[in-house]
Amino acid sequence: MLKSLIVAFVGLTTFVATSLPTLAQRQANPAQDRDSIANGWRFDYAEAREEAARAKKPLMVVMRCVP
Amino acid sequence: MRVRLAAIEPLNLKVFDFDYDLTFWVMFLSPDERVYSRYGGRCEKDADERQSLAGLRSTMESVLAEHRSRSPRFAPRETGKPFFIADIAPSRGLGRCIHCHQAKEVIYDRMDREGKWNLDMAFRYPPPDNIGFVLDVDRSNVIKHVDRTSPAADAGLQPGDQITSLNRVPIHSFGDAGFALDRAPKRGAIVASWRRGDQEMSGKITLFDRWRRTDISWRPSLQGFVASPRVFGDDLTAKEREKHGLTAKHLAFWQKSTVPAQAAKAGIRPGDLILGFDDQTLEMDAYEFLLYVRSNYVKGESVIVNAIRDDRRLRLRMTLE
Repeated sequence: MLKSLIVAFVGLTTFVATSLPTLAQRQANPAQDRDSIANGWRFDYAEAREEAARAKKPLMVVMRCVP
Repeated sequence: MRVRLAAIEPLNLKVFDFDYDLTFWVMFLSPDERVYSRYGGRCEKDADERQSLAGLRSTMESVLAEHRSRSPRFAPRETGKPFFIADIAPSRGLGRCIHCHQAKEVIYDRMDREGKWNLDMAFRYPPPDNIGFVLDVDRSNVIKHVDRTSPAADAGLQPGDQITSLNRVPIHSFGDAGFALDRAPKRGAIVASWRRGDQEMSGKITLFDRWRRTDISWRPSLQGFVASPRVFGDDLTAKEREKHGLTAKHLAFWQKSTVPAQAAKAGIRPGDLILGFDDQTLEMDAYEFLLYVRSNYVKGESVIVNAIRDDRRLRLRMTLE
């Protein structure tokens, strides 16, 4: 029983430790940058396509690697 | 309509077909996913050598004019079933994203396993410099410089000309030129169209052997392919050149006392006078030779090392590793 608990604890700790940097990276995503949103940037490609079709506008899709 | 993305996983790579070694790029699309233009690109000198805010603005204006024209032009693209990187790359875990260059590595790895990959494929998205012209970084598709003796000069291109299409791809940027050249054959000719003042002009650009070759050392996906000459040393002095009947510009250096294993295996010895590879007459110094090899060869290729030992000319075969 104790052995199972230790294994589960080690597993959970490893999972959290490896996931946190990725989650932090996602939070640095400009999708959550209020200035970008206020300046008219979209972050959902499918929605933006629909909107562009309605407005008959071209899309400018910027891809930037988040380090 | 401005869209900002930070992950390649949800994108159909048949639409978002770009130079995946880049960490910043822009695609201009119609809402039904036809591609107007690609913006972005770099070279070995610096990540921003080929892009600027003024250049991006210039491309945006050019794309808007294309969009508003009566018959807008689009770049060719692969059609059919959408292709996502997840189709060939196993999941990398919760929330874990992959870098764009890793997408390229996965694609190449699959091609290698299927026997479809070859060394020539290391030279993707060649810059227009390779056919003899340089685009103005701030004016997107306007030519800044044309090499006097080059396929571009032979076709009639001049500085100040605005390239409108290359190899049937509309050109609004350096990124478009790279895409157009990426689709060009290994040898033969491609058609270029350009505007000079009010005149619309066109001509054929001849592609010479090995024209795609360029420095790949900046590409994260190709770090395992960057070639090293395996021979190095000090340039000859003027007196030594005179003694051996060499001009002041001709590549000539003494192999140092340390000879890397690959070169030793080919028969090169300390003190050999190295003149270059593959019987080419090269006008450069020993350092420039290092850059030349990186731009013209990849690991695994075989070369003939031209050398002089005891006044005897040698031709030694060596594999670049």
